[in-house]
Amino acid sequence: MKDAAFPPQVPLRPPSEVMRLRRMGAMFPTRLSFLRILTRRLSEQGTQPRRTVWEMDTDGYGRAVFTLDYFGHTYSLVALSQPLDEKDRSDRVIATAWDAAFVLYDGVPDTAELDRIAAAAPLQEAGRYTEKDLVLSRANKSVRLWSHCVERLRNGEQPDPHVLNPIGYLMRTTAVYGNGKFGIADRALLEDRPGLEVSFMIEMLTVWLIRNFTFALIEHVGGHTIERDLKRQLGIGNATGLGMAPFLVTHPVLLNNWMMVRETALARVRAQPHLTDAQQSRLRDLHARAVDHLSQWQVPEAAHQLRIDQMCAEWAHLTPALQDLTASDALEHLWQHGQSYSIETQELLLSLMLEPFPELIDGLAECLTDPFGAGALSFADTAALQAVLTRDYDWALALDFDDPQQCQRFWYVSEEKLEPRLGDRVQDLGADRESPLDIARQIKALHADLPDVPEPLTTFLTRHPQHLLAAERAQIMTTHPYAEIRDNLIADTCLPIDMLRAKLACFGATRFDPKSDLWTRITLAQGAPLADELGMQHADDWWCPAMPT
Amino acid sequence: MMFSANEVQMLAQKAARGAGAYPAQAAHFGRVVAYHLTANRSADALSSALDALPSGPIQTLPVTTDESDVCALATSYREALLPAQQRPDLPARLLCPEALLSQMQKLAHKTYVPSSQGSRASGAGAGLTDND
Repeated sequence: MKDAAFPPQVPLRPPSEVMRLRRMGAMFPTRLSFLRILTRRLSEQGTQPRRTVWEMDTDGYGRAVFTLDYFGHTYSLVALSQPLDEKDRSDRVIATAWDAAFVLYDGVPDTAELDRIAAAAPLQEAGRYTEKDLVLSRANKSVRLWSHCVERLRNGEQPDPHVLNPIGYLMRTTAVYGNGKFGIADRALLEDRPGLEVSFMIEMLTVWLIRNFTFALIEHVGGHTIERDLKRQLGIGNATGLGMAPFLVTHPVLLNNWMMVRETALARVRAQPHLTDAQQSRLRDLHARAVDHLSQWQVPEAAHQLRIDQMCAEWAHLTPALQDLTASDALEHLWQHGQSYSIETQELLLSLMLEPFPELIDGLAECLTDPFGAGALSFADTAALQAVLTRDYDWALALDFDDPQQCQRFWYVSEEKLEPRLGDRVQDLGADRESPLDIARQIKALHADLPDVPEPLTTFLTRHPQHLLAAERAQIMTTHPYAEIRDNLIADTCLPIDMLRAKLACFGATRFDPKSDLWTRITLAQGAPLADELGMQHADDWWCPAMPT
Repeated sequence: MMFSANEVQMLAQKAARGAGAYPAQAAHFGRVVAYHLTANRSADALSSALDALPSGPIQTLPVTTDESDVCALATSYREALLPAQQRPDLPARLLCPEALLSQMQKLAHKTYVPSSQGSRASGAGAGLTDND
């Protein structure tokens, strides 16, 4: 952190409270979410994407390139749009054809490079890519919304907000691949570049550019522009399944840093003794905006809609508490008041409270990275390891893995698409090929084998090499207290959708629309500044976006 | 064939798992292979280590790194265990010898679970079509 002196803060919420799946599954994006950070940095750079290639027919099929200068480097989104037979239209990762394919390219592609990408990108996983290709993605249109917008625009009319709102995007990505997949550039090649240090920044840049492309394409096909107040409320959809869930387990240091930043921001804000008039007004205005956001967030899944409805009611109950924020420690009182409501409302309140304090918390974005890695084992002996297990893994040690329900599920990688899946240990084959996401069970097994008389850790691990993973997890916990999801990820009660929600909230996703316990639709960059709005005064003002009514 | 470093790392990790390495040891091996190939050390050492699983250096080196062990594989393990900012830079492309590649792909395949009708139906996104 650059801060010369750290601002005052209250004690952080403990990991035992924060790192439970039920709470992680209620997270909302904040001003420290990756998309918000990206658009602030784009604004700081005073940059705008330039349309350098546009070879599209009247129906919007062909190729385009948008080029952007960002912190001294030039990046280009190569977009390829093709007709898609209805029978091939699927959001599943196992699909083989899409409406559009994208590559974020390092520099400006010449014709030969453009031809290479045009041949490979529509193949997605079946293609091969080079280190000049930084991100690979694909998207399908929302056919209903696309058709509506084309029809309206061709008639010289604007799209109907009542049709726009329930969908919220013109295209929906089904995968955004980075970090070396299929031969594209490794993350390590980019992580030292200015503006890309924060996790997933290059992927977020790609998504924001894809959104920009969808606007250019619909206006090309429709022949007229969409009013900016409507257009700004269109994001990019995403269908997200289990593929991204294991990341939170396999990157414990990053998980810690993301959560620690969030909790530190909250702790700083709660310690603010007084609010300026402007901050008080801002909180009230944003609270009112969130009312619209929540009322527009309608999902078909009944149980989830019930949670949203409850949040709407509780959010309204917060109104009186926001009317007078002049007293000392008014924010802390507001926070404590909010603790009587549901976990969803608590987490939305957290997100609201961070919003008026950019100077206080935005610098924490620098701590979202993992420049040092996990570090080597340094326990003096097995007693030191045991002490950490007792202190930080009490939740795991309390579980009974002889109970079949505690290990009913197993994570594995499917042969078909090399994607993570979740199986039933009794009904499904493949448990012998289980992926090691059973952290709680491994911790408990390690604990059971620790000797009564302390011995050097190397001696113990030489005798029990199977416990190295658990020992390394415990090592990380000595310096990264938010590194572990404190729930049993193979229990029958585990809901992977909660893992997805936590990660997607860190990205900045909104309008979670769970389709099952295993996958969700979301919207990215709804409300984000349009290309020509970067750098404007209100470019960063898109918390809890809502469609104009 | 040329690969990204992450591709090689992930493939090597899966290969070690497929050959019987414990999860943490397999993850170490994945990282080590990238540094080993970058340094142009013998691919045979990697192949032999995979052949030795579920015993051998892949299981033991992450636990008992011996500073006096000057064999190529032990050197690569020491490099991979250095603090992040002291490790050698990995190149943009890694050349993986065909024999090693083939061996790793075969072993990695042992970690994958074939689909069944049931797993397809219950999997993430099952039945998803464009309906919005």
